[in-house]
Amino acid sequence: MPDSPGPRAPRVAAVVLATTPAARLSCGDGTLLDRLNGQLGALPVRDVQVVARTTVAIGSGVTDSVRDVAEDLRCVAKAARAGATAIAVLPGDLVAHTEALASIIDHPGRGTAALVARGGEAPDPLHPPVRVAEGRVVEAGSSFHRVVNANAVFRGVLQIGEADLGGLARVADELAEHVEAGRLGAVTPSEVGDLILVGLVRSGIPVRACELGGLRCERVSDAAAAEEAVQGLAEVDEAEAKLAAADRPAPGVLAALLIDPWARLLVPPAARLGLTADAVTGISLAMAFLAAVWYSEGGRGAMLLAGALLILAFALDRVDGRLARYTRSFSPIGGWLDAVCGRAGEFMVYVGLAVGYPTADGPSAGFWPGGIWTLMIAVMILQVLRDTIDDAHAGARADAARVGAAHYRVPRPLTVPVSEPPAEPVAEARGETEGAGGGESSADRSAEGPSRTDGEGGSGVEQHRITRSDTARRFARALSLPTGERVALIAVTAALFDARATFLALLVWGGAAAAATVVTRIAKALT
Amino acid sequence: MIPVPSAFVPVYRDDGPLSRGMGMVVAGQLPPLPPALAGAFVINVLLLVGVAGTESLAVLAPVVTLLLAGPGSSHLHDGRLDWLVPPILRLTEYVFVACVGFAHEVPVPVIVLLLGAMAFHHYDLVQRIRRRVYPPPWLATFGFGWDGRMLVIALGGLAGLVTPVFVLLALYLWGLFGWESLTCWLAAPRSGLDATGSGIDD
Repeated sequence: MPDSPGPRAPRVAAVVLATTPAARLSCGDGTLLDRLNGQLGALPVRDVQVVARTTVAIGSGVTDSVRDVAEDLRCVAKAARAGATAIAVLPGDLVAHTEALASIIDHPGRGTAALVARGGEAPDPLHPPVRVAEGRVVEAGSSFHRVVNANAVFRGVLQIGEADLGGLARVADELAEHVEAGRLGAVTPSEVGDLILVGLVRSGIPVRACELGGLRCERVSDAAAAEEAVQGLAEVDEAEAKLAAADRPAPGVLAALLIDPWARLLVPPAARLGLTADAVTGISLAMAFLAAVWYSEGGRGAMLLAGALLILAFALDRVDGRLARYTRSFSPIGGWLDAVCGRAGEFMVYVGLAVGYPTADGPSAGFWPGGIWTLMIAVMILQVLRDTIDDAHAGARADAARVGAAHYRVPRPLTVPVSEPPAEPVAEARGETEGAGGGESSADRSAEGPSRTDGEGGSGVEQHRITRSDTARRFARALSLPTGERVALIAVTAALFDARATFLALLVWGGAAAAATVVTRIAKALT
Repeated sequence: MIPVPSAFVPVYRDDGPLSRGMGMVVAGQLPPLPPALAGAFVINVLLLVGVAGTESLAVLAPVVTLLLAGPGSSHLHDGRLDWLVPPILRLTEYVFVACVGFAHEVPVPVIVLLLGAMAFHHYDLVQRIRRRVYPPPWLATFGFGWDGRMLVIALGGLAGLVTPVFVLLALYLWGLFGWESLTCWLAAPRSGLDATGSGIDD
């Protein structure tokens, strides 16, 4: 099997910038640096290179500081040139959950990313502001560089993918020159990582925004803050936070209220048992197949049992994606299997229902309009059509976003405090027109979550408004008959009535939903 | 090296060589949506008057759609409503296949098998684009596209061989799409995730 995640080979080199005294603050029975080193040991990190001052500066003046920063940057550039694998750059004064570090360092993509927090907290000198759009860091700040419309803060941890190592080396060297020439103002040794992030973003290298979620990861400057931060780690239920990080908004109301609350609890035991996400997808498909077999039986008891199996198959479908994110073993083929198996199971159930429908004049009596096979094929075509509407609409949005993202690919100068791309991306101007029913099986932008409605969002009134419109949107999606509602409709109508009633219900409800979706999207596109 | 498509929506059209050829003839001067709409309208009218059951006229429907919707294929699909084109083409193709199949009393499992092959390819196509495991250009050629498949079926109707054509086409498409897709996905890098992190969804 190609999909055993197993123990992965250590494939990331770590550079820890322990040049500030804060890294030597004591915590427990060691320093912060020792603690961090221990944490990195638990991650797939190849080797840890600690950048530290051999001589502790006595009354360090500005010139010392400048020389130190430039030297640190050159160290990073050297590591980038020497390295053949992705490099993680971390500050030594970091107090973080191991899980938070893993979310960026153990990401299977091993691409360029920065750990950010989008909880609306205010930036401070150790946690500079950044702006995140479409899952990417598009603007980053430092003591010199300003960010317009910041919506997140940088949490210190950076990872640079193998493909971007050359870019990192160039950026770090260029920054070192600027720092030595004094073009970036009074820089401090604690912001080397921040400067590198600014450099990466402004040179047009795409940096994925890795969101912290409920976990903690902060930099500290003194002993009191360190102690408080270490205690703060224990306040968070790390297991629950890890599980929550694997959640995605459910499509529709039934999935959110009746399935997800218990389906998500299956994830940790499944991970402990060593089940892969692809295996869960396979079990889900097998359940759907069994449901189809029982539906083809046709009896009342069989219909009830088949409905239960169908709901179980759907619940497992809600588990597999979570499990993949939870175990950080997601892959393109896993996503493909999930999407294709989901629909394959559904179409098998339709066939099973049609086979099990009692026909008076033999099995072939279905050619007249309204015959069970005509209905079954109409339901199937309707489902393909609805998915195509969603996918094509999402594709058009992605196309537009790509045009917008191209603006951020243009290199921008490092020596000016504010440097905005030439124009705002089209996708943002168009607004979030999710509308009804958008691609519930595979919505790529789900990572953004519902909290992206506004930039400032701190006041209670604003928050309230967002929550209410969220509920309204969710009910609109439920009306658009997403997978959860569809599964329930099939199970209930088939158990109470027969396959004919199920197909008619799917056609009427699904057809109305498709029409409503198309009309609202056309209206939104034209305004 | 498989070329990376510059935009998603045109790939979702699933054009065959005929449609792409017509698009090249007009050199992208025709916007995609109006002709696709007209084509879908005409074919629906033809199907309503019972063309699917006839031996001779059935061939008209795909030809008309092709003449109308094909030339739009090479235009940029960046209009505000151009995302409607792929659903329109899907509806046209699937309804045509189903109507011809029913009208000629093709065994239901064969119709379902053929529609299933088409659906598999179309779901696969979306995932391919989204997860950057791009389909090779020859797949659209050998898969015939919506245009080619409709034409093959219409010609089958003309020759009075609807059921054999359905069977052959279904087997051929399942073999082609299934084999190509499976080998391509198995060869895809396990960690080939892009910077936007579109790794997995539910």
